[in-house]
Amino acid sequence: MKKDKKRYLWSKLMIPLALIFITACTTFLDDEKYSGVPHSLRYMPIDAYHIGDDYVSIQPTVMGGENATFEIVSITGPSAEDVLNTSFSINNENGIINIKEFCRILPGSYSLNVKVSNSFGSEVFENAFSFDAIQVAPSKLSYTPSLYSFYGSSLGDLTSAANVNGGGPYTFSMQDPFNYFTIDENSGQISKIAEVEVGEDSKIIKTYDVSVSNQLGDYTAPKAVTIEIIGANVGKLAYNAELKEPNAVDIGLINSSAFTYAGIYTDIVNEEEYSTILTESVNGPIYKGNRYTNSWHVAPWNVEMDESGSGDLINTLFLSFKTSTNTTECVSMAVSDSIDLEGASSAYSEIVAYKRYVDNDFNQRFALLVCEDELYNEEEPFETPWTTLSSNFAPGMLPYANPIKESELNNNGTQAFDIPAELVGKKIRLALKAVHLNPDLGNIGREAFVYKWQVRAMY
Amino acid sequence: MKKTKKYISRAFYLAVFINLLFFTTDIYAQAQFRKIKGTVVEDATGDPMPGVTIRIKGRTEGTITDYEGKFSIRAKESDVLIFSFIGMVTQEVPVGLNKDLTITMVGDLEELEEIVVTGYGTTKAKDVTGSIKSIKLDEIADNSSTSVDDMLQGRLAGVRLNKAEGGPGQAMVFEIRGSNSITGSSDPLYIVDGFPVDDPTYITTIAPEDIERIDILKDASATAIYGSRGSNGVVIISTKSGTDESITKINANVQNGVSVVPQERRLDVLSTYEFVKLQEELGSTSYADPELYRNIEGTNWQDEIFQPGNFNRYNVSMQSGNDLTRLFSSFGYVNEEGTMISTGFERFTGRLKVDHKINKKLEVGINASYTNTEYEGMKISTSTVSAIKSAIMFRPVLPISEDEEQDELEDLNAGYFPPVLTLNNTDRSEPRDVIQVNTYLNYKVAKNLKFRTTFGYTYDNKSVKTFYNEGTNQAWRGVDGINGSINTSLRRSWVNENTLTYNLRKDKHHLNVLAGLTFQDTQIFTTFMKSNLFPFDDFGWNDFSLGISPQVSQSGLSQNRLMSGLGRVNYTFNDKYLLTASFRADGSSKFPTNNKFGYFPSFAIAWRAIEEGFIQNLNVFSNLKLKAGFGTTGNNRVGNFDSVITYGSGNGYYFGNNYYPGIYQKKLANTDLKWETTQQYNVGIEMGFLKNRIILETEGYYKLTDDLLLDALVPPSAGFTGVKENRGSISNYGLELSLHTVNVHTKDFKWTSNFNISFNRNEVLKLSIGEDERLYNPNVGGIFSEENIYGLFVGEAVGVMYGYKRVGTYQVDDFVHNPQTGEYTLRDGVIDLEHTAGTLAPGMPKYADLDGNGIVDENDRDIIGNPNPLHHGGIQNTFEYKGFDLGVLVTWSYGNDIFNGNRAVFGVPGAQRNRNYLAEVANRWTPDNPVDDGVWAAPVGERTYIPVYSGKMMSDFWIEDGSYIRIKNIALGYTLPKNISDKINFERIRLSATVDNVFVFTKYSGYDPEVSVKNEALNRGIDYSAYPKGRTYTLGLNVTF
Repeated sequence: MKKDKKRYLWSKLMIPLALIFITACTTFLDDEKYSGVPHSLRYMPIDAYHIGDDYVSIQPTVMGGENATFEIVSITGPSAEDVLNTSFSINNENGIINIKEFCRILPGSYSLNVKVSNSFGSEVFENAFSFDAIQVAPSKLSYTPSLYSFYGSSLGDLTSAANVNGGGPYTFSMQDPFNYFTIDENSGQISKIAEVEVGEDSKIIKTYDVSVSNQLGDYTAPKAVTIEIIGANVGKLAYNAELKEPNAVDIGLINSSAFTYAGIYTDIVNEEEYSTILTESVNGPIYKGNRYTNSWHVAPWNVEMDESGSGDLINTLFLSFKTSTNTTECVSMAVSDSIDLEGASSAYSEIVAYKRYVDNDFNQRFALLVCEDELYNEEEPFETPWTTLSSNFAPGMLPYANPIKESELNNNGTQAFDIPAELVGKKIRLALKAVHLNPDLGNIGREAFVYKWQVRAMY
Repeated sequence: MKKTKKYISRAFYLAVFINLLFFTTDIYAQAQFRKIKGTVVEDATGDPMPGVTIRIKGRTEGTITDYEGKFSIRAKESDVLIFSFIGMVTQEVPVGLNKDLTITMVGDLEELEEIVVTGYGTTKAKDVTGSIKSIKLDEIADNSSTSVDDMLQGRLAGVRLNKAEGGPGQAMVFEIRGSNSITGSSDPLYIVDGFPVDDPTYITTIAPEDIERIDILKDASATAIYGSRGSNGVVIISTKSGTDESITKINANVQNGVSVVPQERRLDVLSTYEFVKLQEELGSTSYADPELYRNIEGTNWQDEIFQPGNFNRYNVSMQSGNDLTRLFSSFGYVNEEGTMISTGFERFTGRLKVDHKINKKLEVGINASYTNTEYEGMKISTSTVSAIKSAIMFRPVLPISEDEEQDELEDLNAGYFPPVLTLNNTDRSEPRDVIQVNTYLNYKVAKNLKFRTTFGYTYDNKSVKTFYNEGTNQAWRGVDGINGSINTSLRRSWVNENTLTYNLRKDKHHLNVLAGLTFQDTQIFTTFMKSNLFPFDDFGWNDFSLGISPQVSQSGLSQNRLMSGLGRVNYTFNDKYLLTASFRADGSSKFPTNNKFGYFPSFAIAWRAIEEGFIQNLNVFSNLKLKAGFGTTGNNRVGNFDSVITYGSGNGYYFGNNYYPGIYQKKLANTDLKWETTQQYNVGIEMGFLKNRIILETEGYYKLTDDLLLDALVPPSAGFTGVKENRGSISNYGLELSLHTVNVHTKDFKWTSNFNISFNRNEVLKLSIGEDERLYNPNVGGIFSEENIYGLFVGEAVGVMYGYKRVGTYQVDDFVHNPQTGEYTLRDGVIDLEHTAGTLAPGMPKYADLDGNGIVDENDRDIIGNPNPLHHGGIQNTFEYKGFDLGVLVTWSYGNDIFNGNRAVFGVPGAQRNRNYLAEVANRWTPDNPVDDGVWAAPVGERTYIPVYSGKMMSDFWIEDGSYIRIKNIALGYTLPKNISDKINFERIRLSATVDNVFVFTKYSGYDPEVSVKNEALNRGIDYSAYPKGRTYTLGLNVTF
């Protein structure tokens, strides 16, 4: 019995000792990636925001942000609600906030509440992004569109109001030694006030500097607007694709929109029927390196201005298309806003384009499509009953050149396509359709750049 | 394969020859003999005694008693029978007219007393005054280790053994009571059958089965007899000898097993999806959409390079002899596949040991051994193109598109090469041949005076042969093309030791005096040859003339000599009071004339209090001994020519059209160079309780090592980077505790436990003149090559890790965005980070601003880790039940830090694409996962290229707790009952099943916490692509007949 007691005491000593050692060390476990409702949304604070500047925030960070969506829930600030609602946007995939260029918010403090949602739930982050907007002297001015064509005989034709930054109220002015035009000093809208004599088949191109001032200073925008004064037989500009610098939340299209196809797609490629599956994640738009791929978008490129300029290389904005890799298939459309051809007797579309390749036109195809505006399917643009004006205008583009010369673009890269008579007199939409399919036939990763995309009509 | 067969056949014939040589057959006239029968019983119990040896005096015949204690032998009437058994008094019984004898064996208390081996002699364990730990190999034989050092791990207090590399046949790093040297190694001196060996890898050339016992001398009072080589401790290895029992015992040992790198210890790397997602983040478009790779398993290259490594271990030995001659011979073979493909280890050992008494005064002996070892496989941790590194970082998947695949295949570079190709196409072999012959002559000069002279010779020839075949990075991409090299080192050493021993035992006095004179000479001759641009690789390193770009061959000779005088006095009074004093004078060729000799005294006393009546009357102790000692030892591990100016050959010159080789001065000399010396104080207490069923031993020590050799800084204008000088000083102090208990002991069941724990602290006391700290880079595989990431600091432990202290990650709200410029800058109050390139950005690591100046720069580095454990030890539990025995050994180390180089390089993504990373990189900082303490962002885009990514800026983020508890060994054995083995004419049959490295509990995230790719005290605790340890399963059979 005594012996048993001794044994028992020993085991009492040894077992806890062993347990202490074993529990003291647990196998190293690395942190698991967080999964749960989003938390800790952080935006990078900004120095004072200058009213009217185009501001794109740094991408915010949020725990649980993988595949999360972002939404601006509410905005507080001294501006009117309609101004607030139109001055901000958010990329719902990454939360980047854009304060739109030329917005007209009032000076003061602003704060945005942002809702982040993932598969575990949603969280609204109060005052997630706050900033102070201040008035500064104007430094930018532009018109959209920036190109107009008025008949020489007409009066009262108007441009759009001027877009300007700095914070109003503004006062606009312009110099026109011919007194053809006058400017509204409050809105910057320019109106034609004189008949101009111009040959029926001729046009006069006028470019004007426009000045703006507010209480902190003034600014003059050189060549702010271009107005063609045209004769009766010259096609009047009914549509000009307007572009702006793209950023992480804006592909840069002003009066057109871009769409990329996802799903099973069947087409004729190299005279054979070809079918493929296009997914949004692989074949859809990707923003990388300050540029979009797998979608029509705006991209800058240098052009040697040997016709309208002194031959300098000018960084020029193009409507461009590129796939993400040279084997990634993609079908994408750039659809114009509604183009009003009412009263027109005929119309045509003019495209000036350049391609950074010399071959594989058959599997890197670009088509020009048209439809009646009424029939345009806004939800499913690819389902719209489009009429093909050109099934492939790639062969007519200016082939690879370095540098690109303005004269070569105009002389060797210009193509015109008539709008069908049945659509003339109606509101229409045009579309540029990029169809890059079947990489087995060759590289489909080359780029294309559209310098001009216009519609002109005869009245 | 052919070569292996050749070795096997050669070794087999050698073994057969040796064994046949010593089998003797005598024929006697039958008429003179008659049969004598009898029984042997134990005096204390009256039980019959099996296994008692009976031999006829002066002849070779003999027998042993059976299971019932009975025997039968043929003898003449005039013969005398000798009955012997371990622990019993040997009896001589004249045959006379007896036909049936009954012999009663009486216990021999004197013989039962444990003996330990000290330098130049042996002594009873109870009479030891210093710190000596002994272990008999048969106590730890159930083990898969091919080398005895691995078997010792965790079993002895004060002894720390670490395996730097888990590859087959690799020696362990031995450290006894902390590091005593800064620039030198901490390896102890090995004495193999009396022959001093400085090379720690030598231990891998000895078959564990040949070893009888190992005695480890830890404190200076024990090691001072080895003078200038004793400061790191002394490991005395004694091999087995023949027997004088007139019987022949053959022992065969077979072990087969397999070793695997456990899945749970392999490093998790990014999945294919995570890998492709990272590539996308780094700007690569080659892989298209990561979602396409979600269900693609990809290749885990670790699974490709690791394999189950089979191993076979065979050993046959014979013990034979009689009164006059004793013989031991053995042959062993080990073939071990590595757990990594194309690696392995093979060893042949042969040993012959003969002791012969020429007459009553003269005894001679020879101990000859031959070992051939060969390690195959490329260097792992220190190689530029390391298979382990490649296995972690080589991409797990190719781009789905074939075109991209082609593009990616061309994206191979030095650090980025398929590991399987590297391993399969790199030939690397380290063959080694070692012959060691020791002879001795003992002469009894007078009644108590013995003279002993020994002469030993070692021939040690080792090579490193490397050949990069087609399909290696070197051949395909290097300027050397297919190339090979052979590096050979031939060490020849002889030693002569002459000692006189006077042993006097009178009344209560026991005096033992030793005096000696020893000489040792070591020569090392090295050669190196290399040839490049082989047109093909078919002949490998067998024909260097094929290389069309041969390199300049090199050779070198180095030699050192040691001459020593030594003396020791052991005095015991009344078995209570013990005194040991020793002195050694070493003269070494390594030191200049004025410091040629070093003198190393020691003194120790002990009091066996248990012999005192008043202690015995307490009825508490069954043993009580107190001891204290002091001694001075040295460390002569400096270069052979550090005290003299040396010259080397360099680039030559053209005079006219003739080329003349150039000679230049290689280094400065320090003509005052002297020994590193260690003064050590040791106190200890040994206690036994409950008839020694509980034995507790505790020792404390303090060691002060002075005159440490350091590279003193010299002005750059001198043209040299430094000169060796004796400047540094470090101390070690510690406590060791051993507890042995017999927990349960019944007739059929026995449970014993052995527990030991060691605490050691070391501290740098002094560096060079005016120097408080010295920073350095351990130079491991190019990692952090531009930074000093280790340091010596006065007042701190030796070789601590040095760098920044991570406090978090820069988050987006640490910055302010300027809408006008698009730039962002740090907010006021946020600590800046000094950098000369790139931009600080969210997602980058944030470090502590220790000096509070608002910016983190190199002045904000600090000590961030200590590779030295707070304590380490082991606990062995052994259970015996009838014929079964089960042993479980658990070892641990606590409080040591590890610099995880794998994480430093592969744990944070760099800018290079197509490299895989450790799994934790999946949890890196990204806008949708802005972790604060984890892995920071990948360098991408125009911002994140401040050099803080992989392998840049040492910080405590890479330092991990290296504490562990390891179930090191579980061994189950079964010894067949004697009656069964007798029936089939075997003396003993034993089966065993063993699992080594069963499991390790640790927080460390690398392959194994017991790692250090560098062995020196300065560079401990570094893990960078070390060969991982395997878990080994072994089945063994041991028979004796």
